[in-house]
Amino acid sequence: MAVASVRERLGANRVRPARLRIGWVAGGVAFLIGAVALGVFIGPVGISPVQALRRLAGLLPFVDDTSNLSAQHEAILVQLRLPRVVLAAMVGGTLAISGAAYQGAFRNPMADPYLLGAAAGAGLGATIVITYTSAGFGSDLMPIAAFVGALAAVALAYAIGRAGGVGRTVTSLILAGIAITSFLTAIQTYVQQRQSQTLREVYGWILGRLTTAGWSDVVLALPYMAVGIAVILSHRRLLDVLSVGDEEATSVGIRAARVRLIVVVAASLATAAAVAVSGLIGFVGLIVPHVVRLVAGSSYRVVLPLSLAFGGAFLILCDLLGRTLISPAELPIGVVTAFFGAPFFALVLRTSRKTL
Amino acid sequence: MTAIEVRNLSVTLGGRMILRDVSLAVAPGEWVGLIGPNGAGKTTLLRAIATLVPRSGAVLFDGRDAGVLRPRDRARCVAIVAQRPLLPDAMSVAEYVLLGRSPYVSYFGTETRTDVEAVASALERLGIEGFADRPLGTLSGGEQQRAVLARAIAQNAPTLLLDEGTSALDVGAQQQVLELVSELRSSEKLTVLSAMHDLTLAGQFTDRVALLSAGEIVARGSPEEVIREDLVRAHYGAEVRVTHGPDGIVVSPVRSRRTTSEEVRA
Repeated sequence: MAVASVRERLGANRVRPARLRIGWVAGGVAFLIGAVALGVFIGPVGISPVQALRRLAGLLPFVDDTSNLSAQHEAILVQLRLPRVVLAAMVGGTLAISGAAYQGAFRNPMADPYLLGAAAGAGLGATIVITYTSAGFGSDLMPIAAFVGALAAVALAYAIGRAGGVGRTVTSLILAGIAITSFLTAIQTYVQQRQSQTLREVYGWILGRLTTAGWSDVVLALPYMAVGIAVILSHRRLLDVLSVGDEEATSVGIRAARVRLIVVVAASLATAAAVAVSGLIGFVGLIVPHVVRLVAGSSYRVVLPLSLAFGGAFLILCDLLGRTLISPAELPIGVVTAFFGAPFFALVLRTSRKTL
Repeated sequence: MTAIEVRNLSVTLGGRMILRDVSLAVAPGEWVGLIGPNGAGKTTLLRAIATLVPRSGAVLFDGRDAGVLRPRDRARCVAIVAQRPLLPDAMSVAEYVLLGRSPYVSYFGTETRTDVEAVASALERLGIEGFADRPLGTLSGGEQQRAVLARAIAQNAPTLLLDEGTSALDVGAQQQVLELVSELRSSEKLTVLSAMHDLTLAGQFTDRVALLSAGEIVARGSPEEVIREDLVRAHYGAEVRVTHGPDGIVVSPVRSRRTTSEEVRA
């Protein structure tokens, strides 16, 4: 009884580490499942949701497939729509959590895989593989080349940003990232134009390519994304410590530079895998973490897992818009996210002027 | 035994020597004030002791070489309260104070009940338990200072480095913070080394003071021995009168030459 009353008196019940509330987890999962359902049910070929659900249930172990779908519908559902939706969820979740991780590591609300040059670097790496190796699309080399490109780009942006002066790193980092992005995009365009036989292919991929997604893309990207995401999530508490600045973090015993390096490498690995299979899809890493912060709080213990769930759902919905808006033609998904993202970017810039 | 011992410490930043061959010892439970004009190196000395800037020379905590301590072990020896700490607006007071427990949480771990209780008790000792849920951005300057002190207390380190060098606080808030530090010092048996701006407050609160000027310690001893009119004139370039009141010394500025209204009209 004594302990309980002391705790009560001290108000220990009001002090707790920021925690992911069960309601938010449920909300994130429900939103993701809802998006997956819409993505699977909606398409130019009408497959009834009931039949689709029966077929999907049949994919589970020990459940019989009772859908009686025609072979054609079966192929559309399982080989076209489902991998596309799964890949969109993976890519969206990865880009969103990587964006949140970059924002925490660089303590910069505008950090995002695209603004830092990571995506452009990954794009260049992947383009080189497509144009100069016989392996081409979907090769195992793509994620690795993309990773090397992404990491080199972030390292360059960081180095140039630091040269801008200690204390100004936060602002100059984004400017450096933009410069790196322009430079790498220029090289990438050069490489792409030199090889006219792969021009169309590369160009389509750059605008965001979920159209031709198949299970092989899912399998190709999954290991890299899983490792990157696991590392990011395991650093959620340390990212909270970093939010009070390197000096304070150091004074409470955290090796700030090392934590930043690990998180940035992990985020770049995950981003590179996403770029390798889906091309350049911008702004997801900016929009999703910001909305999560606005509604659920700013602790990385909350922001990181929720970004993963909401990022996945967001990209599925964007992809759905892209393939239905001007049906039967398709809008590249990168165009859809940019349509939402660019105005959002301006909004964030306005509201975060103080901290930038 | 000394709580902090600094031997022949020098710091060079951006090619400029900020501290030159500084040696200083602080006994356990003692409060030593660092005084000196702006730019003398008070803040840099505190940061060098906390290993936040590269230094040459040795720093020892309780006789242990700070240079070989792991960061988390160092953080268990010494807590630092910076002049203007970075306080994320949206972070709650409790979450912020919890950061002080970082040296006790394993790399991939989360805070335990012990950590939560240490935070609750730190909040109570600083009288801000009612603010636990408030975002840092909504606090006044004095309340923020208490939150930062609570974070340092939660760190449970025997030594506190306090940078009040050019305090952003008004007179009242500044005084309250020093009174708090004084109380904590007796209740927590803390050793305190603080950079101080106000010479009268330095005289009232500290056991000993060290006068830093141009990166070197030029005088040290009791406040009465160091805060003297001639030394203040020589190192601050200020004309002051030092009087001895019931609470210790009082340093008041005097004007050497008064411009009269007749002179202005002429």
